[in-house]
Amino acid sequence: MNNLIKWELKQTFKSKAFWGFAVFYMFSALLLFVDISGGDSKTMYDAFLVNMNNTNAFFTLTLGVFCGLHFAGAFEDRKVQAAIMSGSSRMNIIVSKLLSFSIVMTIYSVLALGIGSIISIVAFKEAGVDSWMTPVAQSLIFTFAWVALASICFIISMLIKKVGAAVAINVGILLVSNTVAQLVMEKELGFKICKFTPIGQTLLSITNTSRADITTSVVASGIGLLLTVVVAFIIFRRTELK
Amino acid sequence: MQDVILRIDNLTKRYKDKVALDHVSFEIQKGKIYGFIGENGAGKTTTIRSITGLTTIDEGSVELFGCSDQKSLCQARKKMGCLVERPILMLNESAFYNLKMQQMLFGQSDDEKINKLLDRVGLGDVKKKKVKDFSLGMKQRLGIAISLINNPELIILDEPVNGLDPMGMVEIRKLLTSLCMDDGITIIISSHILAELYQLVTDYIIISNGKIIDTLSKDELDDKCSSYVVIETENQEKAIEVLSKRNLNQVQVVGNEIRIPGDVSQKQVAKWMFDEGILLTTVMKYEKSLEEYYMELLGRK
Repeated sequence: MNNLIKWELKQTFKSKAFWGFAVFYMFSALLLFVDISGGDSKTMYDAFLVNMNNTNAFFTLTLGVFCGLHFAGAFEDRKVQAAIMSGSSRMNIIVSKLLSFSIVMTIYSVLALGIGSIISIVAFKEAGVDSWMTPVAQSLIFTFAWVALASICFIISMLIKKVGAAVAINVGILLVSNTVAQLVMEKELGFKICKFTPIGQTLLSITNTSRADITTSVVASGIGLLLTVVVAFIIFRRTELK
Repeated sequence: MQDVILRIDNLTKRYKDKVALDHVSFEIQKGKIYGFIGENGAGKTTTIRSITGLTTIDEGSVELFGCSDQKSLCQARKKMGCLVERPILMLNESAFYNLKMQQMLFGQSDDEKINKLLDRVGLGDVKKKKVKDFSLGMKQRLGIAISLINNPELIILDEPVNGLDPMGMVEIRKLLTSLCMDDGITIIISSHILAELYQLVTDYIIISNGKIIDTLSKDELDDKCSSYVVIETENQEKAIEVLSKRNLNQVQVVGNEIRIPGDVSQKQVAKWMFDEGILLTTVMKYEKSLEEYYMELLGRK
């Protein structure tokens, strides 16, 4: 398992897709300058929230592309097949893939939110929040929820196994689910339900801070990830690989 | 009795209504080179994919190095090397890096071993060259090197000489023979190029329409493909008499032909007939090839 994880991470960090998206998310954080110059933000925390919103929008629009390249690409390039023929179990492959993806997601999140936070600190003197723990907790909820949410792309990519189609469907699903969740969460009942889903948690972390809490987020995202692993294994254990 | 390192028992695989493998059974013994022969769609690759874990099986079992349950099979596969259909390569990376990555999968890190392997497959001089610039033959050789990185006891090669030029085929044949003879590695090769297989393998497994139709050693094949001299004459009866005087009683008469099996030459037969005043209209030596045996087995001429 350790060898498989090392192999997976080495390939991920060597891939052009990983570095391309890393640079893209770094630059996307710079968009905050445009928002700040617009004058809507008055405090560091205001700017931080604007940056989170921007990051969420960029993740929704583009993360499906990375997932398609990362997951479906592994099937298309027969790297999954290589791992199986080398004696790795299918469960270990799923876990190592999701683990490497979680690390990648955390890096992207830290890059986008970190650069945005630095800009906010430099641009404003007033914090606008009682404790620095609030934005840190929000960032953690946001990152963890996005890991769980985007892992659905693993299942889609595994089913499709073709990069082009997987990218298109991943992007479509992330866009639609984000839009639907926003609409549903406007209703009290919808909010109560969505709160316990990864997508609800991503939206909560960027919009309604007072109603977000780390415990619910960890549980919701954890269950989301666990479900992904279970569903992925059910599909993958009988998947024919060429 | 020799060690059996792979035992396939009643392997059955269906794709919807199509039966790809129909109760396939065979054994692979240590230290031999097996030729896995069959036409397109016969079930060769499906069998190989079942052994390597790329496909699931509906019935039957695969026992590799004595392991047959899923968990232990994964462990057993670590002692096996494979090249299925085409090598799995990172085209934008060097040959050295490709081997380095494969080594990582097995928890090893030994640059010296990689260099030795590259030298052995004749890629030592181009180890830093990107694989995308390799010829087909070089990619195949790198694929074989990748399959050897974990010091396997068994390697399975699906069409390893596909697309290779004659020189490439000879190189691969020499390499595989040396792997078996010098390193004691058991090899299973599936190939369409029967003449090439004949020069390499010690045993044959013949599959058709998802069923094993014959398994035989090279010696058994040679017996079945034994040569005979064919003569044609208008005086068949007298010719048979002449042959029986020389204790050649196993002759076969097929139409106008008299087939004389055994170790006799055309020249000898022609002389016997000439001495007896029998005019021969045809004298030729006939040797059945693996290809002809295979076609006969399949009921095709």
